[in-house]
Amino acid sequence: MELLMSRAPEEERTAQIIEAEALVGRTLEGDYGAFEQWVLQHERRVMTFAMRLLRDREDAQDATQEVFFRAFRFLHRLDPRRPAEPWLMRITINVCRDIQRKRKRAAALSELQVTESLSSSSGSGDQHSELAQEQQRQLLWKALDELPEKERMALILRDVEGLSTSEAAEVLASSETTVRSQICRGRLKLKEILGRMKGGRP
Amino acid sequence: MNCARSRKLLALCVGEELPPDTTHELRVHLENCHECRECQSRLEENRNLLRSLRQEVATPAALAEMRSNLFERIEGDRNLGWRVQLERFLMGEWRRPRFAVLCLMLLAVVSATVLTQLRPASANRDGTLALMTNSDTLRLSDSFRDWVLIGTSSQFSHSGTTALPQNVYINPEAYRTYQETGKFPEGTVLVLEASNSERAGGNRGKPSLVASVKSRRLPDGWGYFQFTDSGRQRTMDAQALPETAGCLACHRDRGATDHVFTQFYPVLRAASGVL
Repeated sequence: MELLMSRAPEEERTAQIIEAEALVGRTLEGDYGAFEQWVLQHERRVMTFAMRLLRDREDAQDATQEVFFRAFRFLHRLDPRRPAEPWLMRITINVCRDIQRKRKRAAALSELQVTESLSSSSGSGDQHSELAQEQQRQLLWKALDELPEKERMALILRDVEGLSTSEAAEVLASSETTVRSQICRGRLKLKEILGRMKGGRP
Repeated sequence: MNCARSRKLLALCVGEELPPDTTHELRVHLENCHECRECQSRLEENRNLLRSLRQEVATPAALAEMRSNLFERIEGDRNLGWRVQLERFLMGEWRRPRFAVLCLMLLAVVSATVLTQLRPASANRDGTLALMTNSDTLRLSDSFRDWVLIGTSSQFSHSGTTALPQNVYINPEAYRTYQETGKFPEGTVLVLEASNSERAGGNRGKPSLVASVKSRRLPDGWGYFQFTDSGRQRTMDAQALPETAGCLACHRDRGATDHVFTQFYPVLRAASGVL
């Protein structure tokens, strides 16, 4: 569901707003069915984003449940005339941050395992195999982890999630200029880090 | 364009975030700089790698399980709590214009009432300013000279060496109350302004200021404050003098009315009807 901050035509957008307003309104009146429909519209986006932030399916599932639970409690704070995704993604970032804090030790262990797996198979040389691709992804996540929090988040939203700079700025509750500068710094630092990790030129 | 600027622009260019005129400038630089071309290809490669992370998506089974757990949790925790319910009510009603206008009007009335109540606590009603900024600090403004002058004398020099003119003022509100009741009310401020004996020529030195205040916030109900001279400007904040300074004991023991030497001031004696 790539409807984030929709790029749909005007009419379709208006219809989406009307539908969202109705669902939010009915939920606030106690209609759980309406809330389920609303959840169905956004759950894939939220869980996928949580998976990318936490890199653990079970944690991502727990995080998504927590995001929608908080959304249910505080749905009255959402302006239904505006897209819900930036709001939901902001909650997701906060929930994932909480989970990461709680499971810091477990995360450190998992990182250690990734490093070990990379070093044990670094001489395979088969760049086209499934394993090699997976290792490359792990390496990339590891490099992303070395970035400062704000730059990492801006880069994930822009390049992994595919949001525009203004959409990323809305999620991060920041200005477009700030986010653009974070993206710029993040990309340059990531190049340096990956270069260093691969043992070649940055 | 130098390479440092070119790389910053390249980092934006790979995401198509550069305006066309800058892109052209960058293209010209790239034609002549091998290292920056190298940097560009790395940045593009990394961006494609980052995009490849999109492949991982949530599965329908995981979503269904999450949803089932979510609604179980919502069912089990129907009570939102009074804070959320109040917030919901206010925010829901807020969207109705009439309610919003009513709330704003109510807020204006409450604010005005609170402000009116606060004013006498921070300044005397007669507009002069002498207030306790905390339990032992008095702030005074120069307007005390507009207060009621109750005496001018040269008899009460603190140093005891030179007789110098000194004026004593009382805040008008306290004076009026004293006239009516014969008692000094809470908030009474008396200021003694004396010529500075330390400087030759008398009028060249700044006058020294001592004030006494009746306040429940002070341990004995009265406090004595000396305003020191710090260079060109006198500090108009003073801390209560300690009991060892002697003011408190002398005024408490010898003051004819409360802590005030009313016996020395014809103005005060007349005000209370004792001539």
